[in-house]
Amino acid sequence: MAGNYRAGKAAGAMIACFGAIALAGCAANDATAVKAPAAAGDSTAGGSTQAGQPDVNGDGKVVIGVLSPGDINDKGYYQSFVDEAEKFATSKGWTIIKRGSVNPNDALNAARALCQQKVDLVALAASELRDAIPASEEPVCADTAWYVPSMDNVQQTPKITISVDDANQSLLAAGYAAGLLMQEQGVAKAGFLTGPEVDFTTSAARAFKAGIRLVVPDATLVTTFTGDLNDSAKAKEAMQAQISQGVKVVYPYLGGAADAATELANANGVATLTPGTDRCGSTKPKFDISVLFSPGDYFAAALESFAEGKLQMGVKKVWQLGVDPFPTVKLCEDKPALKEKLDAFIADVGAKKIDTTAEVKRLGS
Amino acid sequence: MNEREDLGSGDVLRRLLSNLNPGPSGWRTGAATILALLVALTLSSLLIAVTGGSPVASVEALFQGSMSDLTAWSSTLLYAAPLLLVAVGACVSARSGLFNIGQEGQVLIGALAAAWVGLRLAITGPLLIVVMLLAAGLAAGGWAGLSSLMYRLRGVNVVVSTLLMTFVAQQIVAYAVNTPWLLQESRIGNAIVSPQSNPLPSSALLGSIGEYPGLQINAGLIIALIAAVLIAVAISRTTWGFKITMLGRNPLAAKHAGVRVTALGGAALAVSGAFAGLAGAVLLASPVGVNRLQPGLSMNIGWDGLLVALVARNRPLAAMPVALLFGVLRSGGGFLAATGVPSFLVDVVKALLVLAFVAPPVVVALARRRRSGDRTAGARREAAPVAEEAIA
Repeated sequence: MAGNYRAGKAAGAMIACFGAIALAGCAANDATAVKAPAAAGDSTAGGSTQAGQPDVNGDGKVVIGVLSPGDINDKGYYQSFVDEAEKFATSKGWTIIKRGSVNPNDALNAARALCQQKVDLVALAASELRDAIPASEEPVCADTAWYVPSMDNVQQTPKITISVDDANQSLLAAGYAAGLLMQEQGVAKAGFLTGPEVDFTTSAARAFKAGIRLVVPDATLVTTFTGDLNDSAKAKEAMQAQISQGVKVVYPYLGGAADAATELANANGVATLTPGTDRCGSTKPKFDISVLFSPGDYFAAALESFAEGKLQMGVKKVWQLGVDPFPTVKLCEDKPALKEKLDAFIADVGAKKIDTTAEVKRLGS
Repeated sequence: MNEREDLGSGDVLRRLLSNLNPGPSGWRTGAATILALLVALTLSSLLIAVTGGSPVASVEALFQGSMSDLTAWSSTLLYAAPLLLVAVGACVSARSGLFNIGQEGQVLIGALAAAWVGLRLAITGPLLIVVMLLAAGLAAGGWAGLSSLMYRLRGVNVVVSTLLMTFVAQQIVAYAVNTPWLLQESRIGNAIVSPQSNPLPSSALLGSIGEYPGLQINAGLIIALIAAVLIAVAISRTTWGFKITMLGRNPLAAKHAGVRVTALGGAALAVSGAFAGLAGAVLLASPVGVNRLQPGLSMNIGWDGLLVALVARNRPLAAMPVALLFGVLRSGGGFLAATGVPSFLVDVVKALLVLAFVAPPVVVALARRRRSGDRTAGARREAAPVAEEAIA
């Protein structure tokens, strides 16, 4: 008994100690915030092109280094980036060094390792690895071009070129396309299936819901967070749960687990959307709507410029729905009436007749 | 409540572990280790070849990334520091007969505490980093101590509880970096925020001698080396160390000799956790990472540190070169991608090396036990007719 009492006292003291430390905290979280990223919109002024592009370091060969935070064999978002780089590099006779599943905490070291291996272009596949950017200022990366995708969360520096798209635009349009299918089927319940419950997935769900409600105002969205973008078993379990709840259109906003979940949806006659790439040609699994916002498509344009020696550092390219070829949304089946409505919506977004941010705020909550 | 002499690690596991503790190593163990190493290296080469790579190019890449120049050495040393800290802690608990396998979670808890202090406490100057390190050690030590408490109060096996607490720690850190009022990074405008904290202020970073891309000796490495030497001396030259060793070898004898078995075992577990927590603080505040708390901050350092201790056979001083070797594999692993070999193969190679070091002493001990068992049985068989004659 005495032992228990002593142990309880020790635990109490420990909790009190932690409590005292917690209560002593007085600095606001924002006190350590990083500087605001560059303002939205293209910024091509003040950029510079490195001499000798694409052989930036002048060693007689062109090497592209790609770092991806995700699985580079996920048949989707992350793989598209590497596939595009590989396709382009092969066509030009360049070498590519690709490294997937890079831990964001290891991003800086991974980028330095690429520079030490004399790559001419360091390409980050997603903004999760943005903490690698300080390496671009270091001597080891002096003769290297940098390509960085952003979700408005990357600060512009003279050493990097940024590629930005607005997830609100593509996800709102995806929701709009899903809404059109739901309207045609006469249903009002949709599903959104994703991995961890973090800012980019919750924002995507909000935008998707807002898009659906632009067409079906009383629509409801069943959102499931499996906790893992690549866990097929969890994704299938969540898809089954959504099907059981009667949803007829589901967006598997996943990475490597998207195919497994979509196959289950196919078997139950549930319509699905692609998480980033054009897979209208795929029959197993089969998708009903392709939502194109893959980083590979944006990267291909940058590689074209790089090959021509025109990729500018210190600038930002903003990809606009309805203005640029990507992002965009397309229906896989031939449904002219629906296609016409969808194209008109996309054109309106491009012409800024629709304020996507305001619509998401209005209908997405 | 009755005293549990196995200290919660299970008697069989404790006996197996005791074979890994320092002791007289015969030529058989040495020969078996060399043989196992050769097998491990052959298997690694085969694996690399099967995945389409060249073993020679892979070794070259590993060398380039870890030892070819001062930049590579800096990277290796940066990785070695947290590995060594975790290993030193693991040595303490293993020497006391407790198998703490929750270092991965303890690293995260240490980093969480350090991040909170570094970002939220209004402490200025060098005191900040001192408080961060203390908070990391205390929090992770306390976290590991909870397993001891669970064992004491409810008899929960320490191996199981330390392992499962890792998953709880991962969820706590994930919650902290996804919760704006806690530690999630500040939202700037409409930017998407990631599950991570703001970067630490410069006053909260561990200093270095030398600067990247030259040779960079970070304070984290110095702390780890000092810790390894101190623990080695404490184990071999102090009463506390003697008691710990006695406890690990035979808890019953230790108890009869007046050692407070449960208290000392609990303390050893807490010390082990505290070192893992320190490793978390080093990961957070040194240039090995990006100086933010992230769910993946531990980068398997906790698991690898445990392996370092196993390979070093729970000797803190031997853990130094082993941590360096693991640092080489980590920093060199980043260069493997250029050879077309998947970088996860480094983990497979690591696992094979660990098996090569860990398996031989256990196998030799089991074989020795079996032989002595055979001899005893033979002696009994020979003695039986004699005894029967005697009875007759």
